[in-house]
Amino acid sequence: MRVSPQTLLEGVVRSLHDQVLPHLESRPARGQLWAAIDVLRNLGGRIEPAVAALEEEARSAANALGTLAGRLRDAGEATLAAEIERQLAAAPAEPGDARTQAMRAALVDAFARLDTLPAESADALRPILGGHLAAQAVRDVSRLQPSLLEEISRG
Amino acid sequence: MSDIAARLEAFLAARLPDADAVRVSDVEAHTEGFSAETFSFIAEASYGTRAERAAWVLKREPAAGLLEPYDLEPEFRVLHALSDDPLPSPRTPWFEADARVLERPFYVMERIAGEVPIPAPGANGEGPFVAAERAALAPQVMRALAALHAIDWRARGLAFLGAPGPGVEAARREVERWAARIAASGIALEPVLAESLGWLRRHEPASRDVVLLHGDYRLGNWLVERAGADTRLTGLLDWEMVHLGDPAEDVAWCISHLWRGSTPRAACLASPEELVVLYEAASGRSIDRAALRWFEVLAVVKMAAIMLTGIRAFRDGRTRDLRMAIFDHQLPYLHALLAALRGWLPLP
Repeated sequence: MRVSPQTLLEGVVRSLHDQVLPHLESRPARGQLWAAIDVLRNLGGRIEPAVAALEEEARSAANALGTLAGRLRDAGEATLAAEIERQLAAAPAEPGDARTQAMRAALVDAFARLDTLPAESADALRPILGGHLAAQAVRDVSRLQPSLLEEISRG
Repeated sequence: MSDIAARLEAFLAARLPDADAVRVSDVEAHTEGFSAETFSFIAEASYGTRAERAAWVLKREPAAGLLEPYDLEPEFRVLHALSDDPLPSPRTPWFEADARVLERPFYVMERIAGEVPIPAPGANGEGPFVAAERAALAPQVMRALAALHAIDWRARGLAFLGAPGPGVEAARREVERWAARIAASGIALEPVLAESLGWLRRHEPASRDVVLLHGDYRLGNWLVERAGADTRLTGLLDWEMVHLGDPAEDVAWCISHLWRGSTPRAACLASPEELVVLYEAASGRSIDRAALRWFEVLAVVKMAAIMLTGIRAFRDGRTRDLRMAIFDHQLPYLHALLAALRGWLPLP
């Protein structure tokens, strides 16, 4: 998670208060906006992290990394395999943001480790992790609402 | 806005010493750009009984944002140098670095007629243009890009932008520039970005030419006057990322999936290959398709780096622009696009 829901809510409150409210002249509309700000200010403490989505990502990454470690061991790259397995074992076991972040870091490191292999070997192994990247990208996009970028650009 | 108008009147009065008085009106903030702040205004200068009225655009460095740290001066110097060029770039006479004038550095350019179509599906899913507009615009935008790339940047005094050396240096400099921005965001590197950066570093293409690049040549930065088959490209905007490099970089950015607005057309105008062929015909330069593919991957990495910079500015509370926050949920689209460009997913 790059920006926490709490930080996003604070930003929305700040924007509504500083950049929208001063331009709103209708008293009923101002009342509604103040109410929205009040609701948003009190929402932060009631939001729970989406643990199921984080764990789905972590499980997928762990599977890909485990498969990669096995293939590396089979190919005689026991040291690289052990490094990946050590990182997997060191990741927090509790589902949540910390575990998922640890898996992402392990993937980044694994790509760097593959770069140390001969090109042909590395090219044969990258698709193991690429499959996870593709699946995760699809999962992430499927959770998004249709973009309002056009409306945001036009104002 | 009245405060800005008063300050601009003082600024312009100093630059138009023959004028008896300068009056600024119709100051309007624009929302199309996500980076530098843009205002349009009207300035009326009186010379005795004669008055001259002109429309101007002011670009000011934002306090924080997508391309921080900001420095508008190189962009101004390029636009100023190109002011009398037939290229549809706005005449840009003034730059002010003194933050006391308008809180942050800014420059002033002529306002060019036209609207700024954006890469969006539009009501019918056809994008921002009808067929006749597409047919008219596609060759114009690629001719304008070829004309930009044909500019003798040494003769125009633009070597200060820093020319990359021969071979892979142009490509390497760009990948490292954007990798450094991603790192500077302080946001943990996403695996798909790490994989893409690795691929870019393993496959840097050699450049044959070093040309003046716009750096952000795309739908959304073009001013257009619509008139069916007579539709015209009237202006090229947002030169913040101007630099010297490989011409394929601008071509790849222009045809990138980023600006297709959910249409099958690059820049919502024509197929990517058609645009590349138009560019080749206009420039007399052939574009290596493997290099083009490399720069297409770089384009998405670059966009991710820009978004991460905005997200960081928002997260740190250095910008009050809530639009920076939306990039947090826009990034997954870029991750999916990178996965597709790298062959892990079908291309959209």
